[in-house]
Amino acid sequence: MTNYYGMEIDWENEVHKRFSQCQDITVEKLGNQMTIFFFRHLLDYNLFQSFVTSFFEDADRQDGLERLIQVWNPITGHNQEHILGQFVEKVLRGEVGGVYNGRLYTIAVGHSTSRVIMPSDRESVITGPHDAFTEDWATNLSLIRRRIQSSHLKVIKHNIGSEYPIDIFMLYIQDTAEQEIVDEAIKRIERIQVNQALDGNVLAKRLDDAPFSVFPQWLGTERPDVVADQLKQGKVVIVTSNSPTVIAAPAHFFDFFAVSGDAYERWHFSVFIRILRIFVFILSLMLSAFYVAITTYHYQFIPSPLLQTMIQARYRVPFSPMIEALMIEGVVELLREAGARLPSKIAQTIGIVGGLVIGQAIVQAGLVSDVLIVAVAASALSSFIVPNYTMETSMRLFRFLNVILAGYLGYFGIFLFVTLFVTHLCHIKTLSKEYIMLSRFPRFTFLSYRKQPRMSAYLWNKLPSKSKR
Amino acid sequence: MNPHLKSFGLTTLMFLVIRGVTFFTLPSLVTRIYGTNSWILIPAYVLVTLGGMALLIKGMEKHHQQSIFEVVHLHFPPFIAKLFSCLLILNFLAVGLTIINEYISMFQFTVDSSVRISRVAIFLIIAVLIVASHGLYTMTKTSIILFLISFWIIFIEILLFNDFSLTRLTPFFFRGGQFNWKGALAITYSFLGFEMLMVMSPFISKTTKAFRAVTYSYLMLCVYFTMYIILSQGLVSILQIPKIRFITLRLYGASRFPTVEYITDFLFFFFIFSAIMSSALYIWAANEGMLKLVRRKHSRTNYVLIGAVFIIIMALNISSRTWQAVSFWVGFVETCIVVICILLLLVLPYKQKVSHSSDLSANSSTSKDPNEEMAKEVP
Amino acid sequence: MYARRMMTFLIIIIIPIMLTSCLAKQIINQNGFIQTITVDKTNTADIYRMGIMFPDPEKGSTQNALSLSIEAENLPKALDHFQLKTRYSLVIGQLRNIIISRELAESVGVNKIIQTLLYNPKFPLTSRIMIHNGKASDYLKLKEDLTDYHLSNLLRKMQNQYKTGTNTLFNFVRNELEPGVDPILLQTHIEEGSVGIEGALLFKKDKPISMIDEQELQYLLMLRNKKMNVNLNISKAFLPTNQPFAVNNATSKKEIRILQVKPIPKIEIYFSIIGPLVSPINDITDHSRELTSDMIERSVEHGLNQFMRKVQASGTDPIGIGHIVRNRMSFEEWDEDTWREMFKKADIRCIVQYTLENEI
Repeated sequence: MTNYYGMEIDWENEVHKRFSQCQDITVEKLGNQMTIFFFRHLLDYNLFQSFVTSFFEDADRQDGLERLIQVWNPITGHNQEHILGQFVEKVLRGEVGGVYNGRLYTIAVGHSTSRVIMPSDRESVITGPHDAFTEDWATNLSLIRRRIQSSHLKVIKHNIGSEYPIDIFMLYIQDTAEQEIVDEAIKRIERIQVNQALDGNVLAKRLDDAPFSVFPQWLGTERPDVVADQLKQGKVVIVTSNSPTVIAAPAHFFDFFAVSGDAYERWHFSVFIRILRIFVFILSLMLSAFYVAITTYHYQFIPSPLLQTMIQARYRVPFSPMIEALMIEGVVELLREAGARLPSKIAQTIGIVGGLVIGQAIVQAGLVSDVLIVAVAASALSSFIVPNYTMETSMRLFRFLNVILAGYLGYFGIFLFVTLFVTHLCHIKTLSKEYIMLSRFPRFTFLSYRKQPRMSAYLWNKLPSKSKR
Repeated sequence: MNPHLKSFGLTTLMFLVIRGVTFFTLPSLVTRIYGTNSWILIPAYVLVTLGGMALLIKGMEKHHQQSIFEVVHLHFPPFIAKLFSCLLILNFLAVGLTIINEYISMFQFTVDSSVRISRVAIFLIIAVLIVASHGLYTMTKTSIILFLISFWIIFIEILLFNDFSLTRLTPFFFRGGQFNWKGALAITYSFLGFEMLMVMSPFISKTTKAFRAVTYSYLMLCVYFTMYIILSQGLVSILQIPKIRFITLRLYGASRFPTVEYITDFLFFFFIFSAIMSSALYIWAANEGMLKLVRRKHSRTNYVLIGAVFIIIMALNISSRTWQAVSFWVGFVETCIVVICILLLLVLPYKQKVSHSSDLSANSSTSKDPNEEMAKEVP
Repeated sequence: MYARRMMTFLIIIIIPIMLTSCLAKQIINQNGFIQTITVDKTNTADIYRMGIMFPDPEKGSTQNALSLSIEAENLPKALDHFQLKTRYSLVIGQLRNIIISRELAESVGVNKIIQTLLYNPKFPLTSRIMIHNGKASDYLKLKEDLTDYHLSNLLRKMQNQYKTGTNTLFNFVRNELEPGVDPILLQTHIEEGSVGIEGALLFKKDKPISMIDEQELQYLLMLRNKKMNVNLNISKAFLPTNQPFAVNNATSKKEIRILQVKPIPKIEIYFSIIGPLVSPINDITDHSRELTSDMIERSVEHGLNQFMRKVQASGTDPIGIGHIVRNRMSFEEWDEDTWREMFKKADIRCIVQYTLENEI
């Protein structure tokens, strides 16, 4: 029983009680006077061993302990529960806890081994850095800090766990990010409390302005260069512990169509590919619906040679174009999901089976027409060009809705869809900022104002030297 | 909350609203009433409208951007103010409904007679109400995007239309027409839309030059209408134009596209944006009036009620002749409302609103104090 | 909460029901796309023999057109009958050809026939009307290839070649209604199981009065159109050699100048033709280098002027000179019939200016 904190408590016993039935905890005695508690798998054990040993190398046990304890952090608090709570929390975070002379101490000794930095599976670029975030927040923060080596990069830590600690780190660049955005983000973070395992995307849904909207309002990414770029644009970024997805806001609509790799290519190609992305995005939403509308209601639109081809293609098909389109879109979705869930070796086979066998067989069986297969395949391929996976999955849902509207109302349905789609896009906000801003379109298309070719400079360089000043 | 409206948004919104759906029949109507080379009157109509708008904006500035509902409630006893507001609300709703009906009728004309007007109208009504319920700022932003999506159609006429003859226009002016006041008035309705400014005024940014912004809309519209009328009068002779119901659709039919056969109905559907924005703005304005009238401010309930009433009216299967008559009289009342409101705004002195606790509401959309204008948020 | 769920449930039920009954589907493989309509005279007044032809895609790509005909007052009545004779839903939106027998056109006029057809807003006004010398329903007995509609593709080829088209329903009605110009229509004939164009018919109001044969058809088109592509054969009478020459793929621009309106209209029609001259190959034939632009101009002028006399004699104005003359008169003075008389007596001269681009 000791009285250091002004309380007669057997701390060692209390700690044992807290960790009863936790058989993965290690309890050791250092010199019969100090008892240490740690989870071997949460810290760097070798580092810890060498750290502890170093204090006992050239001193006797008592001196060694005295010296050791000086580098430890003492736990202070106003009552037993508070003190014990802090001690337990730190041990659970991977620190080593020690009880010595009626006082509690902790010290951090590295991290356990985690996944090494590898390229991202879902966001790959051809030229540019290939590192991606991991589940370790410290690694993630280091990747960001390496790119923004400035004291203006602020990191605010929050614990949003209601029962267990769940740490998130909010980053922003002071004097670049608007204060109201930062304040809004902090306000939202402080409002939420979770008691489940958290991924960046799950956290984003809690922080959304319109959680029921199909459009994501926080940009989730696994690439540190994207995050650095977002921070430099004045956005707020959140790193979640145990999640490789880092989210950024305010995320504007065009941000979901930007790929960091565009900046690493030649400007001309980058501009072309960005405009192409917007175009094929529209195509992926509209093509199947358009096919359904013109084959069901608006046959006059089709030029006569193509009309005959389409009639020949469809004459054995027993279903209406809308059912046909929904069917084949459904098959494409099944293949996509199957390919995502299966191990990569089997997934490739599924791709071949789905693409060749099902596509070919389904046409030969007369269940769908080959013209529709072309339309749906083009539509599906176009959807893959959307770089952000969350946005791409959202758009897939719209295709079904568009096909149904086109199947019942023709062009009228498609244009109603366009109107409501645009209205919704204009209405939603991201971190209280507008989601779609036309003023950002030139920045998106030309990557940045600074990267536009300066025609005058180019021409100036071409002039003969005597005309130069 | 949303910022105030800026110039470009105001220009595109007003362009879509004013263009509406009457422009399909405008060339036939103008030719029937005024005769040969009557396209020359379009700038005149626009100038008259701009004059009216200038007076309206002057009145708005005098009243420190208060909406017309606010002004009426401040100056008149509650009974008269409510009656006048009801008249405005009912007429705005009637305009919204006639726009919807006209569009669906044209839809039936371009597709085929199997189109059930009452059923299809339900979907258009729902879409219009959804757009209106999102508020003025969203409508303005939407109008920018829809304008950018649809403005290229005019270039089809310029570049691909080759069935035009200057000889057909003739050197005669205003010959062969049968002037009547009803027709002349009906042409005026195509230029109405600026009266929405008197409801939108609290939401327009103080730095926005509303007159300039809406003038740009009217200038674009003037070019638009004039071009279409010239093309119509160069496509068919004056003896034939009055017989063609939707001459503008014939113009699209005469444009030769390289790869597709018949684009008329496809291009026609781009005008759904105009119809929806136009109708939505009028319904929104009516809702603003309704919020001023009642103590409990529930926009959503209002829109649901409006939708229910519209659907019931469309389900009555009123004949097209009745609709045409209703359209005419609704337009007539609208014109009278415009004149009366301009006079009211110019004649009545400015009165600052004194805020009462019973008037305070999260959904209240009118300005409480002119000095607080800048802090006012757009719903 | 319960009320909200009920409301959501009702909306989910009602909206699909609403959706299903908005407009009738016209699925392309269930449609019979009427490609041709034929109209013939019958013994009964106001009753016509209406025939339609549409492809049957199921049978493959050759000789698979279906044709039906019935005597009816107008097209909707005929279609009501036809709908009971085929499993396809007959639709009019892809119509290409309307073929009217000459006998019928001369007796009742084309306008009346058009009125019996135009009942559907989807009726394409760009469909082409032709007058057939004989029974129009003979066309229905021809076998048309699914992918190659002979007559309409022939007309399309002519349109591409001449860079102008005149034969549509819309054009006919427009010319018929507008003052100062009379419509024309092409005349078809069937020979050895195939349809061809044998010339054009000139109309007075809506009845054909005279025919222009295929050799002069090009002159008619040159006179009607402001700008077009022409192929002209130069007559030997104007050439110093015995060898024929042709002007191929030339661009002809026309300008009409009114010198005088009263008492007798004096009109000059200027043609500016730019094109290459095609002659026999030098190495194996004689080639005279004495050929000049003047000779070509005289040859073309002669042909045009001769043709002009013929048109004037017919008493119709298919060229549209009346259009321009009308703009020179006062608005009230214009009278269509008076103009036709004036046109007959008018002094109209065609003047050609030819510019040789190249010799081939």
